[in-house]
Amino acid sequence: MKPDLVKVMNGTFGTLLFEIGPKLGTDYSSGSVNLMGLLLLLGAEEHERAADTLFQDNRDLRALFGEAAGIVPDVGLRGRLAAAAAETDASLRISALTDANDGLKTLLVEVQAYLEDQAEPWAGPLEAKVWHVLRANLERRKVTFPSLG
Amino acid sequence: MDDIAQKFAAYLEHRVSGASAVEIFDVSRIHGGASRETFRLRARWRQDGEAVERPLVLRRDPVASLIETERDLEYNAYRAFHPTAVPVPEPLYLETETAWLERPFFVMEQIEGCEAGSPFAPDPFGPLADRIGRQFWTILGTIAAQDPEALGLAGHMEMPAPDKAWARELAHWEKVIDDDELTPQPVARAAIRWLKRNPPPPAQKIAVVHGDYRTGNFLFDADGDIRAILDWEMCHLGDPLEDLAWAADPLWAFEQPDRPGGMIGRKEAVALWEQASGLSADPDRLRWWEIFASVKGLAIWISAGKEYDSGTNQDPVMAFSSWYCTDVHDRVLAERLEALAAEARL
Repeated sequence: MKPDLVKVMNGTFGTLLFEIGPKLGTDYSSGSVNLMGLLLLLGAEEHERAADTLFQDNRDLRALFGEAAGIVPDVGLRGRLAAAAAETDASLRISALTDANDGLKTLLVEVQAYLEDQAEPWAGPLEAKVWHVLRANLERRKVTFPSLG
Repeated sequence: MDDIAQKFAAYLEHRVSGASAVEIFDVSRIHGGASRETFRLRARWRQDGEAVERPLVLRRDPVASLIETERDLEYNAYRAFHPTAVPVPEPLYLETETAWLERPFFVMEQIEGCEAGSPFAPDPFGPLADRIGRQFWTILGTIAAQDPEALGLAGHMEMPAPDKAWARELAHWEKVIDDDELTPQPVARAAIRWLKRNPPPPAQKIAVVHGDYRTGNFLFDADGDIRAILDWEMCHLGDPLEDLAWAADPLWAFEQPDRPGGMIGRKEAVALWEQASGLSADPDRLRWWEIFASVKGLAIWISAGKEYDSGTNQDPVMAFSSWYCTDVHDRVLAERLEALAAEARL
C-alpha cells in the first residue's frame, strides 16, 4: 500500500496534534486526542521494526539457550534449553513471532531463577550473558518519543 | 455534560441544607489518570437568602479503573490531611449511593489558577523548579511525619507491623503482575526475586503513604507555591520510604536522573525529606524501595495494558502507559539488576 503505513500514521499524528487537538476546547478531549496521536507515532515505529525486533530477539535467545544447554548440570533444564535452541521461526507474522518470543521468555524466567541459586563458577558468566541478551532485547524495543510540554 | 450537570444539581439540592435553585455550569472532564472520571464544574445556588457560587471537582468511579481502589479511601485521606500543613483540596461530600450519578463519587473544592507539571516534559517547572522542588520534598516529609492514629486513618486502613510492610506491598503488586501480564515479564520477575532475597530492615515507623506522590499529582500556582497534593487513591499505611522512592523514580524525571521529578538535585531532595520527616533515608534501605518502586510501576502499567487489551477501559492513557512506562521501568530495572547480580558474585 502506498503511501506506506508509517507515513500515514505519522501524518495522522501531526494532524491530530496540531490541527484537531487545539480546536477541541476541553482539556480531556484535546488531551485524549494528543495521546491518540502519540500512540499512532509510537505505533508507526513499532510497525516498522516489530518483525526485525522479534526475529533478532528469538535468534539471540535461542543462541543463548544453546550455549546454556552445554553448561547447566540440571538434566531437565538442559533438555528444555536444547529443544528451544533448535526451534526456528517458520513465519514472520508478528503474531507467530510473538508466540515464539513468549515461549522463549517463559524459559528465560526459569533460567534466570535457576542461575541465581547456583554458586558454582560456571553460573556467574552465564548469568551475566543472560542479562546482556535481555538488555540488548530491551534496547531494541526502546520506546522513543518527543517530549510533551 | 448536560446530563451530569442536571443530576449533580439535584444531588446538591438534596445534600446542601437550605440550598435552592441549584445551577451547575462550566462542566468539563479533565484527565485525572484513568482511575476516576474527574470533572471540573461550578455550582451556584441560593442559601439563606444569599447567592452562593463554588468551583468544585467531582470524582466519579469509572466502570473499570487503572487501580482498583475504594473511593472512600481517597476521600478519607483528603479529610484527614485538610486540617494539617499538607495542602489538599477541601473534601465536601462522599456519596456511595448509585442513584444520583450511576456510580459512587465524591466532591471536593476546585483549586483555581493552578497547573500540574507533566512528568514527560523536559523542564516541567521552568524557573520555578527550585522553589517548587523544596516544597515538594518537604511536604512529602511532612506526610511521613504524621501520626496515622492522630489523623484518624488508622481505623480505616490496615496497619502492618514494621517488619512486614515491605512484604505486604510486594505481595500485592506481584499478584497484580500474576493476574494481568499479557506476556512474560523476565525483568519484573528477576526484580521480585531480588527484593524477596534481600528484604529491607523494619520500617522506622509505619506512616501514611500517599502511594502516588510525584510530578503530575500536585498543583502549583504562578508564584511557584504548591497549592494541592492530589490523587490519594493509593494511600495506605506502610514504610514512608516507599513514597520517597516512588517520587524519585526516574520515570517522573524525563531523562533527568539527577533531578528527580524534574525539580531539584537528589541530595538536596532527600535532605529536605529527612528534615521534614525526622526519619533517615539510609541509602541501602532506600535502594530496596527504589527497586520496589519500579516493580510497582511495572505492575500498574501491566494492569493498564490488560484493561485496554480486554476492552474494559480504552482511555488512551492506558495504552500509552502500558507501552511507554513499561519500557522505561524495564530498562531502569534491568540496568540495576544486572549490576546487583554482578555484585552478588564478587
